[in-house]
Order: sequence, then C-alpha cells, then structure tokens
Amino acid sequence: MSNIESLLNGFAGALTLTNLMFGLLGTILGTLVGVLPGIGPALAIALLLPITYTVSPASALIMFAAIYYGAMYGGSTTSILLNTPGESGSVITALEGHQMAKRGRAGSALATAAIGSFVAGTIATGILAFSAPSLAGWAIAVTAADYFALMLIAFATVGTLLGSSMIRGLAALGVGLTLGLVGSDLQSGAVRLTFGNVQAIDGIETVTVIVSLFALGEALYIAGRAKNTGWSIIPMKGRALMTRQDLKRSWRPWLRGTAIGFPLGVIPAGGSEIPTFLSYAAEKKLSKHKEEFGKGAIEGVAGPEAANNANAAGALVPLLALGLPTTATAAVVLVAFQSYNIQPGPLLFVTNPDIVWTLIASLFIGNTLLLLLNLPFVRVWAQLLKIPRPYLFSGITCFALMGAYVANNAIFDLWIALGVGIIGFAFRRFGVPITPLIIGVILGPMAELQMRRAMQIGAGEISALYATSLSKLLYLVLFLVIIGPLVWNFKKKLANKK
Amino acid sequence: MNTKSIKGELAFAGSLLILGVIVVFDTTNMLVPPASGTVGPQVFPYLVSGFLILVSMGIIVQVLRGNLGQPEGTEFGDTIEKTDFKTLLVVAGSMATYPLLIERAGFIVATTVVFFGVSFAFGAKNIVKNLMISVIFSAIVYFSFTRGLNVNLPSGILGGL
Repeated sequence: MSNIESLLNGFAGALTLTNLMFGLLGTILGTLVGVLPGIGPALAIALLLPITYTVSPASALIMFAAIYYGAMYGGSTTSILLNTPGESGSVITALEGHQMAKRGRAGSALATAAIGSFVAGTIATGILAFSAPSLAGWAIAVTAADYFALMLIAFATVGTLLGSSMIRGLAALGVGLTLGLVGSDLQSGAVRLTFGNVQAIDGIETVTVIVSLFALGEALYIAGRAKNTGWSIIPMKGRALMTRQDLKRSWRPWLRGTAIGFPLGVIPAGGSEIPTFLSYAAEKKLSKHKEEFGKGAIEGVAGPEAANNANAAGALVPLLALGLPTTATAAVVLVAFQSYNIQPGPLLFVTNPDIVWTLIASLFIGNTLLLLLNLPFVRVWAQLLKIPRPYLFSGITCFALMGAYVANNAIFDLWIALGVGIIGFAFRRFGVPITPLIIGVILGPMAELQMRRAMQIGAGEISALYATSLSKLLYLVLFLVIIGPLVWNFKKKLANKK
Repeated sequence: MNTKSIKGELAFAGSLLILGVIVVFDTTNMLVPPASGTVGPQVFPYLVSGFLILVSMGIIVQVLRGNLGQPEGTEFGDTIEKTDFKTLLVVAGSMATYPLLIERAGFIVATTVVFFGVSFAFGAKNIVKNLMISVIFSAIVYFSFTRGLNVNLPSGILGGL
C-alpha cells in the first residue's frame, strides 16, 4: 500500500465523530495549557494518560496530538501579549512579538504566529508522513549496537545542549538514569535500588516523574523564589488579522522556519531553543527591514514560530520510526503508546499501521482545528491569564498529585512524586535543566537493554558495541557532539580573556 | 551572601555525589541471579554511578572556582535572592497531606485540603472564598473524571455521593 493510500485510510480512521470530539477537546486543552504559565504539553498529556485505560488508542492519540500542537499556539499567545513565553520554543517569539504588541500590532503578530504555525505544521507533518515509513523501513536493519550508539548521542545532545551549563545538564541526565535503574532488572530478575521496599520492585512510574518534576517542582519554586508580583497584559485592539503587507513579509520566513525547524527536530538536537534561535538569526540577516528588529519586526515572529512547529513535528520522526523520544513531550507520547502495548519503532508501521496513520492524519486535523479555533477566539484565551495566581498554582498542584496517584492507584507513587518535586525545586534553584532527567529515566532502561543485547551477541566482547559500520559512524558523530561544544567554549573563553 | 550560596551549591553537588556512591554500594551488594547472561545486571549501574560521581565532582570543582549555577527564571518576572522558606514549607506541607488523606478521606477531601493550603500560601487570604473555591474545584474534577472519563478515584468518607 502506498503512503498516500495509507494516509487516506488514516483520515478515514480519524474522521469519526468521537475522534473529532476528542480532537476538539485536545485543541482546547492544549491551547489552555500553552496559555497558562506553569504547565506545558508534556504535563498536560501526562495528566491525561489515565484515559488510555478507557478510551480507544485512536481517540487518545488524536487528543494528545492536538494538545501537542495546541500548546505551541497557546505559548505564542502569551509570549506576544504578556512577554512570558509559556514554553521554551516561544522565548524567541516574545522578543519581536511583544514589541509588536506594545506598538498596537498584537493582531498582526498573533495572526502571523498562528498562520505560520499552521503552514509549518502542515508541511512538516506532510514530510513526516512520507519520510517516517521509509526511515522505519531502513531502521529494521539497525542492530542493538547501533541503537545503543544512537541513544548515547541522544544523551549527549540533550545533556549538553540544554540549559546554561553543560555539566549541570549531564548531572540531570545522571539523576534520570539512576531513577531509571530502580526496580527489578527485566532480564535477570535482580532487584536494584529498592532498599527492601516491595512496591519499588515495579520501578518508578515515568509519569510520576514527569508530572512532579514539572508541576510540583514549579509550584515549589515559584512559592520559594518568585516575587509576589502580578503580570501586565497588553490589551489587544482589533482582531487577529494580517494585512497584505504583513503576508508579503511573512511567507518567506514561514518557509525558511519550516526548513530550519524540521531537520533539527529529526536529529536529537535538544529541543526547540536552537531551531527558533537559528530562524530568528536568519531572518534578521535576510530582512530588508533590519532596523525594525528589536522593535517589533514581523519576520522575527513568523520565522521562529514556524520553526517551533516544524521542530515539534520533526521530533515525531525519531519517535515513530526508532522509538527514540528526544523531547519531554515526545517522551510522554511514548508512554502513551506503551500503555496500549504499542512499541514505537521500525516495526510499528508493520504491526500497527492503522494507528500510525490515524495519528499522522490527526496531526493534520488538529492543526486545522487549531487555526479555526484560535484566530477568532484569541481574546478569550487571553482572558485566561486573569485567573489569580494562588488558584492557578493550587489547581496545577492538585492535578499533578492526582496524575501521580491514578497511574497505579498507589500511595507509594505519591511519596515518590513529592521526592521528585523537591528534586525539581533543587534543579531550578541550582540552574540544572529538567529535560535531560526525563530523557534519562525513559531512555536509560532502553539503552541498557540494547547494550546488553549487543554484548550478548558479541559474546561479552566490548568491541561488539562498535562492530557495525553504522555504529562506528555514530560514535564519530558522538565524539564531534561532545568535543564540538568544548572547543566552542574554549574559544569563547579565549576571546573573553582578550 | 556569596559564601552562603556556595554552601547551597556544594550541598546540592554533594548530594549528587552521595547518590552516586549509594548506587555503587547497592550494586556491589546486589543479589545476582545465577543465570544473568554475559552482561549481568551490575554493569549498567556501575557505569551510571561512575558517570554521576564524575559529573558531581566536576560541579564541585566548578563551584569552588566560582562558577555558580544560574537559578532558573520564572514566568512571573523577577526571582528573589533568598528562598522564602515559610511559603515553601506551607506549599510542601500541603502537598504532603495528599498521600495521607487520599485513601483515608477520599479524593474530594484530599484535593480540597491541598487546594486550600497551596492557594493560601500563594496569597489567597480570604479564607471563606478560598474554601468555597477549593470545594467546588474538587467536586468538579471528581465528577468530570469519574463520570465523564470513567477514571476511578477514591470516594472515601463521602462514599454515599
């Protein structure tokens, strides 16, 4: 069956009334969590994971896909109107977008962000639909040793590229890997790091870790470290519409942003900061209105927003084709797949083609719903920011605790959640990024499995880990990934000394 | 102030180091089942603990050289220099009531207590209004999840509802 045929089947599977309802619910929830500070798409999906016990896989995945894209729309709204990026990918948008809003051009900024996200999301999902299956076909030949090397690269990039300090990112990764060790070893049955606790034998629930790191950690951090000040919303005049001039200045940045964002999502480059920043830099360089940059240039909103969305779609390629999540949200989507006993990876397109194609189709549908839902109602979304801070945080806290409990209906998980919440506070306090921990918890056990498989095949010889040509190539890349930033930092230090 | 923040950083990096050492101990004392294959259950933990110990020592060196961590910014404007432990403890304490109450008293009671405590700590000083909002929030969440999405939540002492 050709890709187009499969995709059409996917649409047929996705376009039922029930699924559309879940898609609509997802777009609303996604935009909601994107607009509200303190919660992001990873947390929203993690909280909704319990519905995977009662809802069909297609409906749940459609809802999660809509949340995934919706949160990015919501994030751009807050960064433009409030200068508080709801998630890391919107930081760059705030630079120009908020300046535009201050000059009374909030409508244009919101429109170029929304339409740009739609254009980029649609193109990127299209590329995803045609590239993921062929990548998966090729990935069947990938051996355990290659997988292990790939995971090491993911560890290295996520650990070193996020946050301000490389070594602190690696520390976060180490803590994540340690949490991933807890429980019984699946291959030998040996029990690790349980300290005699029977409930710990099943290991630490990933969802618990994600939910408490983000929500409880954030609540504790804001309680302990933030000034008790409100925020000032810039009132929006007029509607979210673009003029012909705006469109003329936006369409090229949209396409360039897509071209930058998608490939950087496919390779594990550590989230959306880098592509959005690169797109911003490119637009600044290419713009005919350089003098407007820093004062509200529309190109500076259009490009990074497109890059952000294309990047999110790109991150689904390694998730679906290799089973490798590279962002926190992709990691939660992986957990969702697993709770349906579906293992993403090369075989996914063979064993569960209907689910994958439904998911891809629902990305298209979710994206369209978002455009229809957000442009006319952007003012309604902005109203959400009037929720008083105390109630916002108590709501987030309660949802997070609930999410930690319902995963297994176990009080033990709640104590773990509180412990991880305190880790989340300490990480924020000492400038340690959070995503490497999540990647460590999820990928750690997978990396161990692949390593042991590879060595078992090689009769215990270490050389089995770099026996294939692909693994040799990957170790070369890994070497460059680690050495590159070191040289870069060294050069910067030299320059600073002069 | 600077020496104090260095102490905090060192305590943080030190606890990472201790965590690494704990993993080493646990792995050394692990009961390894006889048929564990070529690569047993101890190899990976040793690698992880070694990595963690190396990295935490690296942080300690960096901190001693004056390279402190950058506290993360918030979406609420400026952060304060000194941690407000009073608010922090009230929030953490409210969270800690949840595991104690969720099965004994049920979802609605537990959620009401946490909601009330956290919003009180965050500055909702109108107690009556806060309490009302807490109860309404808990009830709405309880019924929309149990009735709407068929997710099971403990009913506890309000089981008759």
